[in-house]
Amino acid sequence: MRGASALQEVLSGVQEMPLAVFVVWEPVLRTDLAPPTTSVLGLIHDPRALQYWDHDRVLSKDLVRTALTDPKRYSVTEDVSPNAVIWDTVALFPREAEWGKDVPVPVYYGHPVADRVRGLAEALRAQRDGGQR
Amino acid sequence: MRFFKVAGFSLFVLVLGMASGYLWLEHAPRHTPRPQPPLAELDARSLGSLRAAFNAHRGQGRILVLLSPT
Repeated sequence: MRGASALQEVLSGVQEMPLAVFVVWEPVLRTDLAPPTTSVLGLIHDPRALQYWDHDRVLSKDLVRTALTDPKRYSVTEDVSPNAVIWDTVALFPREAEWGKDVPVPVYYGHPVADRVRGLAEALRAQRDGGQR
Repeated sequence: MRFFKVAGFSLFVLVLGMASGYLWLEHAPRHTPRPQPPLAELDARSLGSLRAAFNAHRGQGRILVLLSPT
């Protein structure tokens, strides 16, 4: 929840930037019994956002598969278990990156989201100012 | 005897509260803020649609975030 609010704050700071925000909600905690309610979805109210409910955590599984396939490419420094769940994580991708079989390498990523929004904001500014493709 | 009556009533209220909470959670509205598209379900078959949406926004910055709803 803290992560969602923190992300919205960052998005509000770059309102003029052409951006697509893919918000994937997934059950991780014992209290995650159902998809997010209207009030939770409203935490990210940026018009550039698209929101998804991933009941089976298929995206997380795909990201884990990708990271295990080529840890160096994704600069994965910690041990990742095949059963790991990727959540409370944010990633920013290069403008020209294409998602083929595997997710592209992000220009910035981190977790937990609430602690990484400052880095995300800097990465967004760099992308906006043309510092990163 | 009074103890059992109070305990039974408390248990009834607790179960009723839990059932109400569960029903509310099951049937609560799930609307995204306007003008966002409605909440989309993601599964093994529709993961491709997320990938397609991601690629459709090529040329823009793209953020992917994974969150828990609680």
